[in-house]
Amino acid sequence: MNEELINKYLSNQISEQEAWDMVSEIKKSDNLFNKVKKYKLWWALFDFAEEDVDIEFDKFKRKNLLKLNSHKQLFKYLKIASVVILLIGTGFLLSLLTINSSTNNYELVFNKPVNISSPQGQITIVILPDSTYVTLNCGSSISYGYDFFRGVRNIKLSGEAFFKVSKDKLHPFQVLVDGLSLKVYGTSFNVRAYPSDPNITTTLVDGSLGVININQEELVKLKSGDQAEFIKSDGKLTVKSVVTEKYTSWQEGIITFRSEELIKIIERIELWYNVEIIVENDLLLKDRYWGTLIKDKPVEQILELLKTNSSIEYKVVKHPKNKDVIYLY
Amino acid sequence: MKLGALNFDDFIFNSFKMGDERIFEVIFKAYYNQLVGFSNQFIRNKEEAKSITQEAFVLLWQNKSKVETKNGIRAFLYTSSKTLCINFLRHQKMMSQYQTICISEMEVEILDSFNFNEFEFNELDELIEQSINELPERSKIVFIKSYVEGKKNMEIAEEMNISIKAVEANKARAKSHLKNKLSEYLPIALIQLFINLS
Repeated sequence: MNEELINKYLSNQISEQEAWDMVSEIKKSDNLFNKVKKYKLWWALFDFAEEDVDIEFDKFKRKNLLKLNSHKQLFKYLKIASVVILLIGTGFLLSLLTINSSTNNYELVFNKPVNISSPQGQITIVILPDSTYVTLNCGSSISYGYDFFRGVRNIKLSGEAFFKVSKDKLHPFQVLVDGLSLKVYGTSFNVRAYPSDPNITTTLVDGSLGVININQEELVKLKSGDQAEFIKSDGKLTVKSVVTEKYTSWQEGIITFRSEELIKIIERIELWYNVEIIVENDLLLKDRYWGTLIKDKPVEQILELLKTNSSIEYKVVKHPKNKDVIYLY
Repeated sequence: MKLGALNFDDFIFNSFKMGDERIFEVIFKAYYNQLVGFSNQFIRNKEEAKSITQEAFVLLWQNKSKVETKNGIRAFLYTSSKTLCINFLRHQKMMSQYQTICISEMEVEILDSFNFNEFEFNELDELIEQSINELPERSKIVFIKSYVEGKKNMEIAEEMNISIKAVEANKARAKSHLKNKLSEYLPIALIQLFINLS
């Protein structure tokens, strides 16, 4: 049979008459039918649509939320919901008490700060009473006093968190960390201040942010894209401009690298696992990798993945007091 | 380094089995456009092809316990799409321009004969990878950024510091090269038809 006909069929350019001719020919020969089957299969497998997958995935989630809801997801939503209920509940109780009871009483009850912490290996989202979103990284916690409800927006942070502060020009929002205070009115920023870190790193995504020292003096005002690094030991502060995504992507709990050079991947791993990586063969640095990693898994798992996909070997040297060092060669 | 397919390792597969939504999202984004393209070759209606693909992902999520191997994810998605396409074609009343009744009947039979559980997806990936590697460096990067990383033309233009027109041209070149490669694999002269397609 004329192969041009098959071509026309595959590319949807066949006329009705030609289609009938082709199908009647195909019906006569199993061989021909098998050939057409194979062509059609490969042709179809080689077709890529060009939809925007981010948009498509959002549509998909919205449309199929009910069908997709497993117990686990439900549990996750319940957990967030319970935080909200707890806060609304406390606020409600507070208003009841301030109306009905003596000052002494509520001082006694509400001087106790609210404490929220995110356990190891888990990221927690908290919605504060002023609708500020806080994403707490593993092993981090925040606390605030009852006067938060009255507009004193002061939060104590230990560990790492991303804040999306709701706008309120009258009431500044302050994050207090080890000897520093970060003052904003409505913006998004990331603070990394684990007690074990030598530095406090503040990365501002948008808006402006004041870095204030223990004596209430403003040390510097950050603009969007700025990162301030405060060295705890000597109180030195440096500011540089950075790509903020790198410092905020931990919230997604996932690292995806696509055609990324090893040197970039190393930076991410060092950030994520608090390790130091030394590459003994500089030629490796330019190699490109594809892959997806989920956070909270041991770093060895990532190294194994690199190893199976390339000629890289690795060696981990544990340092109980300092960062572990990983050698790649 | 393998390109095309997701680089599944065991623990990502296990996370999928445990119902990790983040992994589900990665799988969705990696295979969505391939599956829409596949279904559209039989349905000839982009919107319907998209809803069939979405339905296939719902089925995947609901049946994740039945998927036993890493490659099973892809086989499951294609098998579901295939079944949904067959149902669609059987119930379809209005035929599109190209969709004569005889073609439609034949394609139901063709679809029915596909067995994705035995299909060698590796072979597909290798063919794609091989043909991408033959591209000039710039087209190759554009192709990867566009089809593997799912980036938009504008983003690619910015990242590579070239014009949007140049991105489009490189994409077209990559696509037609890919299909030329396919025509080498399938020994018929498809070449000039590909140009019409892109």
